[in-house]
Amino acid sequence: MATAQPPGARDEPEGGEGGGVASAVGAGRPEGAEGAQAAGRTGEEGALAGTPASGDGDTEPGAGTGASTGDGSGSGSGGAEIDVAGAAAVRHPLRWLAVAVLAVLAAQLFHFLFTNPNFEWGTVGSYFTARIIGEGIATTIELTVVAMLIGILLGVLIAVGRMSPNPVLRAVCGAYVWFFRGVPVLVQLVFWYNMSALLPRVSVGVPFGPEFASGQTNHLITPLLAAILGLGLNEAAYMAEIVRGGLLGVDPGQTEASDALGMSRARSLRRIVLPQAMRFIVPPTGSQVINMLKATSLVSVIALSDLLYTVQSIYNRTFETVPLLIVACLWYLVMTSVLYVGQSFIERYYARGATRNAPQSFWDFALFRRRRAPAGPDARAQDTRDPEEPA
Amino acid sequence: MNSRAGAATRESAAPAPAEASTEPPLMLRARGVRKSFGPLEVLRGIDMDVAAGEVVVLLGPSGSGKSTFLRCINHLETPDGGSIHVAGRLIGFRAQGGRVHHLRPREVTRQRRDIGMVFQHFNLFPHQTVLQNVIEAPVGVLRRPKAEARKRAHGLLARVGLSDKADAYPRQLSGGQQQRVAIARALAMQPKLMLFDEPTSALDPELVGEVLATMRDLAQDGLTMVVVTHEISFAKEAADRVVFMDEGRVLESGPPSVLDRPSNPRTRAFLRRFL
Repeated sequence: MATAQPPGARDEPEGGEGGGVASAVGAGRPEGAEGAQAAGRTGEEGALAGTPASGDGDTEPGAGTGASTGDGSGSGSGGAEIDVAGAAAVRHPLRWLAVAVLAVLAAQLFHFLFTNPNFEWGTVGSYFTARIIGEGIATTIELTVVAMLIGILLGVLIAVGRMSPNPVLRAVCGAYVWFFRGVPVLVQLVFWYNMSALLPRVSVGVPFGPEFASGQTNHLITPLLAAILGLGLNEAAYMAEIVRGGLLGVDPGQTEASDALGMSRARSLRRIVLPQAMRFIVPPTGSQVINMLKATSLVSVIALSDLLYTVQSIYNRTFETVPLLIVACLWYLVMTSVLYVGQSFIERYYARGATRNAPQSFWDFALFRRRRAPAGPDARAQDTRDPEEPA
Repeated sequence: MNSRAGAATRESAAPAPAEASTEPPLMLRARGVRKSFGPLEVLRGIDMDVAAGEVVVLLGPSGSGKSTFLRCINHLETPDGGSIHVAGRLIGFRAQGGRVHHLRPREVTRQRRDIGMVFQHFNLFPHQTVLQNVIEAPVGVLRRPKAEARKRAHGLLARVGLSDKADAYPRQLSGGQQQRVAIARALAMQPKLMLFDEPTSALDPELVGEVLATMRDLAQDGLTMVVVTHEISFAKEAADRVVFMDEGRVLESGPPSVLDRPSNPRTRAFLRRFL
């Protein structure tokens, strides 16, 4: 690669460097215009010295020469004030090469996309807004929302349980996380779906005592419920770890301060610790939601008509496999893109107080309003060295 | 000193001991307080009395147990032995029928309302504005109406010289300002006793003065204070009594004048480093 470089590209910055060093030394002892000229000349010498040397690669004797020359003449040189405005930029020939390669690849990709008839873009277009696809999307969204809600709520409880002073509770919550993180979601889904084989009848009642109600497992656990349970309970294990990590990330001094103010444990968790933990919780939760949206496609194995199962059932009939899979891909991309945007909204809200800049209010932010100017002359003065003394 | 004594009597008239207390109004009464962390014995029997309105400064080398003792007073640490009474009430425990029981967390929480604490690292709530920090506990714990709490908070912020910072977030303030907010936050609970755990140790030297000035004001107003600090000057100017601790014991205790003539050799060695 080095041979492909235009030699001039390397020379210029080096020459500039030599001159810079020389004049920097000179600037320290301002004595007059003569000195300035001397420094300028030394810089040129540095540049010249650099030219032949640059051919042999990484060592840069040019800069060294310039520096030493500058040092020698520095005692007699004066204040050449360098202005770095308008300095020539460093050139990056490799970047341009990379751009060229990528451009070729991109052109190939587009050519492939638009000329390969197997994509059947017309078919994609006709199915993209089809009603049945919309129903699949609705199921996917519904599953994502419900499973995530279960995951978050149960996850918070388990996280708090894992940090409880009660050792039994800690162990049980730890075992939950161990189990549900350890078994693949797909296996869990199939297991819930086949629950009736393990447990033909479910009943509600006093343990080992009288029953109040009972029913066939197969009637109770529909594919939808199996999907919700499989995805939600699995998610709870991951969310528990995320929430626990967030809670641990909050300075213990915060709990101490709320303790010292007489707050109950629950109150301090709700008002002080959790809001701060949210800053650590929200970003990974955002990726979990996106993961969940995609993981819902697993429910196609238990014949629940989500987006993937819907397109599968169509192409099993029509054999338009590729265009229908493209429809699914596009819709998944649309949904995850929306989630990305939503995540950044929430993240910025919980970042309040985390930076020294006054944060926007949630509604200012949500409605794309610009931040209001500070009220007073320096109501939010940034300078911290305030000399004022309380009287 | 004279003005302090006057303030002390004024204050001592106000809080009636909640339970039968034999002595004259003692705000803090610690007897034989012991505490170990694993094999490390941090407190080896601390006795200490603090009268209402008194300002006591705890001095001693680091690791001497000053902070641990302070944290036992509001039960952030549970002592292993001895007893601590604040305003006549046994802290963290209940004596009943010849036996002593641990209090439930909720009851401990209740006792802490009367004991304010200021931390070395301020521990302000960073996600709340200064005003929200100050009203959080009065509104959430004492169930004060918000408007009233806000009004009081503005008064307290004025008292610590930060009226104009009510809407700032803690991170926008200097360390000294943050610590003064922390003091205002503790005062908002109208505590009977204030604990200061090395309040100026985390501050740049030029910011120490503003916090000490605020604390001197509070001392002059007759607030009962127990202060762990390395600021000998504060001890000399504002303390009614200085207590030296080392290796979990009280070495020496007396008026600030002992700072000039310490009798214990270890106290002398400790003080020499500050002269």
